[in-house]
Amino acid sequence: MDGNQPQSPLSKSGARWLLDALRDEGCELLFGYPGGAIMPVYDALVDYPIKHILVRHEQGAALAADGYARVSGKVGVCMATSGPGATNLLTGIANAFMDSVPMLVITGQVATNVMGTDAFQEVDIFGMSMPVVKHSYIVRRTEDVYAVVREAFAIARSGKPGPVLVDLPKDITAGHAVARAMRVEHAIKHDQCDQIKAAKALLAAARKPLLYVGGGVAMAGAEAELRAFMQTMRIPAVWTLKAKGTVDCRDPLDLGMLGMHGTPAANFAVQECDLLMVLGARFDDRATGKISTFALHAKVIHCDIDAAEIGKLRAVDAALDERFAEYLPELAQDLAIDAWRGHCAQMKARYPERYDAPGDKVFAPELLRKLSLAGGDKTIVCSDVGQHQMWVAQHYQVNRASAHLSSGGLGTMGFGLPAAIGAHFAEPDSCVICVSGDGGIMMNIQELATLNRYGIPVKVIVLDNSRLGMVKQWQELFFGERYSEVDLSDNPDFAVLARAFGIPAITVERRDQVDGAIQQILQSDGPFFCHVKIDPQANVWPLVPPGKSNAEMMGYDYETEN
Amino acid sequence: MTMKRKIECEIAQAEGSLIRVLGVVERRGYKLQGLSVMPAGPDSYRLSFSVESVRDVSMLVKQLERLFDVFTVQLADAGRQQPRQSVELQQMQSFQASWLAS
Repeated sequence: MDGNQPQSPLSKSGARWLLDALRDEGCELLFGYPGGAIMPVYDALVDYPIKHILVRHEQGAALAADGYARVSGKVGVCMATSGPGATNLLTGIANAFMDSVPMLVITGQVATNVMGTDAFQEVDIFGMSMPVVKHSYIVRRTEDVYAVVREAFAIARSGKPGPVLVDLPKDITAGHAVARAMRVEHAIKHDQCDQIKAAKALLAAARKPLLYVGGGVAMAGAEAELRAFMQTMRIPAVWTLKAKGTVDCRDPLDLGMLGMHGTPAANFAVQECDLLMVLGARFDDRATGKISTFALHAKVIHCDIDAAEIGKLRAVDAALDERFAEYLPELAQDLAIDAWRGHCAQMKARYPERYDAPGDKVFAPELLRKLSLAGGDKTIVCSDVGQHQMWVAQHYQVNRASAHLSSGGLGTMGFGLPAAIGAHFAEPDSCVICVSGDGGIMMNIQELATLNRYGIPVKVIVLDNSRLGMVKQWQELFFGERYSEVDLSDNPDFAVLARAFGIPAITVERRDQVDGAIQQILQSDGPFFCHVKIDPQANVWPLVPPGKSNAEMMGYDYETEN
Repeated sequence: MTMKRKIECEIAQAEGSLIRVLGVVERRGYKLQGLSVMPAGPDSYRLSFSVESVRDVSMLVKQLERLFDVFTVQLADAGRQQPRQSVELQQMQSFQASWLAS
């Protein structure tokens, strides 16, 4: 397609303008899959020093770009062709949108003269993706490609990050033009909430203050400031799934994750506190339980980058933005809350994690705790979605937010393996472990071929209970044990399957094999696959039933225990 | 209790901008009751519409303000302030200027 003679020495193909923009943004890596309408870009790519990771399904490209962005903090880039290539990206785009992950999504499109005629591999991906993108473009002129892509990067990473889609018709990437700047008429919006005085007064008056830490803290690069704030103020903290690792897990005032599968100490502290300081979190229903019963006695300081989150689900008494590093030191003051600190630490001590499950079957929570202790600080864990995801959240210890990747908002089964691939490229020196289930791994099993192709040393651990465990758990508890379509006992032999992809694999069936397997996993050089048959009866505890208050944790009687 | 309020906004004459705004109105739980669209300048439309919802309409205003195609949003009967231009916008403009110069 580069055969057309340029009109001017400054003229380039739209494909080259796209790749120039990626290069000028510092993008060194993209995940993608070629096809008809995106071919001019793949043709030009041969001449650029941008590494392209060929996945085996476009959803893998989008989720790998998501994982790359979560760990690196940079904008993840994925690319696919029009039609089915583009629609296969959608789940990954929605995943990034729900968890506010910066991503640039490049889709090929049929040529502008046939758009709207139901041409081969034509879909309106611009329209289909609209509810799950931060912004999107169809580029109609080759001269706009460069400026649009630069603007797309700026939007993806500014403010509350998110995915931005750029749809590129084939004649636009094949055609030549001199680049022209698009007028910047779109403000990169950033509301500022500035009620520091009010927040300071609320803290001074509080007798039972509690921090509710969300993913926004680490995304704002304020982990260190939050930890310093906790050290100075000694306020107990609870955290969301996305914030795992943000709070120092060795701090006795780290009460753990709140919500549906949170710790009793975290959920009970929320119910008792008189001031809830919410940092980069959004009152998600999995965290709050029945919202009308959540933190009933608490005033609220809500700190968030997104003004639309302030007051969305809970009225606030003071609002601040995400510039944690600037104002957290200003809020520091002596608090006379020793009784509360002692009470919280006591609650934490009263409900320790338990690993003394009976029998000789593998107890997944124990395996995960051991694995995290053996792996240490240089590991990153990517979980898939289901029971194992909650076990990772509860039992796998990490001490920085970027060492734990989980599909929080969308809950995307199939997230784990591609996200782990992205995490590896973001931090090649870290050991990336993908913990998946026998359901989730099959949703993107084809990416084992990507591991093999590039020799990506991701360690895949499949916790296999031969069923869709989380759905089974709900059917058992909330649908009268009427099991419907959750049996996966005809799973393939996962170790044989992994070996067919060229990946060394072992199977673990008994508890006494766990320690040896962990050593083997961590000492392996390249990709490695460990299939673990776990106790199929194991459920995730504790559990707040859906629609119930966080005080109603199954297995714990809040009224009598406090 | 259901409330009916009127919203006025100025949006870009960009591909999809109108659908984007109306999509947010409906997905966020507000029922569209009337709509007029007029060109407001060479690159913008003025949109005026009424919504009905049990939800607080100020939350819809905040959601609309997040859209990059939306320049201003006002509750017609309350005179809401325009969103402030941010540091990032200034950076974006200076980036554009330096790029044009190079």
